[in-house]
Amino acid sequence: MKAGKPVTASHAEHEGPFQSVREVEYNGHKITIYTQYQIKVDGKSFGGHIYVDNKGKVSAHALPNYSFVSAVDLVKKMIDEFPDDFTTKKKSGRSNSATKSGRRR
Amino acid sequence: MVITRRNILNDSNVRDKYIEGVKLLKQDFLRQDWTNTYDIFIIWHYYAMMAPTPPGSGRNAAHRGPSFLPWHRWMLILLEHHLQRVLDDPDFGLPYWDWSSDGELPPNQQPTAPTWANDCMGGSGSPVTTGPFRDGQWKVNIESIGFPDPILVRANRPLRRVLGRDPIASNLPTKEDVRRAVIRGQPNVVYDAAPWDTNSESFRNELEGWWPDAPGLHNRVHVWVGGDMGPASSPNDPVFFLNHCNVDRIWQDWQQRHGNPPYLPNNSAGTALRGHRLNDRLFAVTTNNLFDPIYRGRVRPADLLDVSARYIYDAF
Repeated sequence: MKAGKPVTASHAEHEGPFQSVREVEYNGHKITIYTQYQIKVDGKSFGGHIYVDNKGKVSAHALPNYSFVSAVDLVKKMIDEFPDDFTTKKKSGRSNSATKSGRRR
Repeated sequence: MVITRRNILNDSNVRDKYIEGVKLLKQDFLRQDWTNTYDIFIIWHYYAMMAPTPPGSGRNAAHRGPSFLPWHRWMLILLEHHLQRVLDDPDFGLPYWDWSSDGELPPNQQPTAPTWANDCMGGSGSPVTTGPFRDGQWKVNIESIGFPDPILVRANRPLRRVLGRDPIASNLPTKEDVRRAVIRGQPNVVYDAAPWDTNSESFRNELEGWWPDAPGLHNRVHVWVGGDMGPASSPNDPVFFLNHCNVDRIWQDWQQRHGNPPYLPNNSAGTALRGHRLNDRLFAVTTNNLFDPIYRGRVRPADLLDVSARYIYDAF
């Protein structure tokens, strides 16, 4: 909330693929399902939180009101909504790399 | 004093005061070293969304789980307080946008409904070029960008909206959609249920918009408005609060219609639900009294279930 300081922030960084964990109890058994996505667009990896719910739908923080039946649809939507993040030349710092210098928490 | 929250289309005085008030909050600084008061709400919303509960979960401190309704009720109460302060009007009540009325119109007429008139919220566009929040009259100072984990960065640009353009939600929810959510489950009405997330078959999950069809109700409105209503910085659009005031109204209607069903989960639930249980503290952006003189940043769902001493709605 500081007036004169960058507000850039993020809650987590990931060196590798993020793992979504689903835990369900069924007929006295505890089921745990780990799902890991490794997403590349134009050869560039995008690491971060991709969540899978119990119906298999996927979602991400960047589009908080959406869920998708396929990670393909999720990434397509991301490209539509955030074209700057998927340009081949980035000079502005509007990328995931900004988290490395701007974390607040 | 009990204030009344009214339909923004039925009271031009409340409409005009809301527009004036949010603009005043953009110029209001509670402390010299803080950002403006309006933008604090954006920062709060972003951080709540980026706080998974528990870590690794898709549920966060204010969405995709039981705290969705009380957390946003708290947010509205504080916005209302600050609007009353800058307007010097202790009787001012937040207006709501009954989007289900617009949802009764043919889809191609919904983006030009009176809600989007020049004297109300203005219309669609990137940038918005009509109404009180058009380019030059309203500035987006911070925004949430990036895939898949967005970051909050400085911006300096006008507001963006793309009303009804996303094929995933090309029309608004209807009155029947709302009615179904409010009466569903009788007589076994539950506020929320395991697994306490987007898969729950519960009132909270239906009103938030994950079940039975997504995007529904609240989520559908965000997607339908689009533009700045899409990312975690969605309070950038003042329509955000009109949407959530209507969501809060539907919750209150549900509470009264069913005799105040218990909030769930209570604190016998496991610690994986910390932040969402009846007596857990909700996610605060600050405990400073300047921002939250009402609860001082320390409030539980239990504190927000009965707000009848604070406000009522003009109609359900």
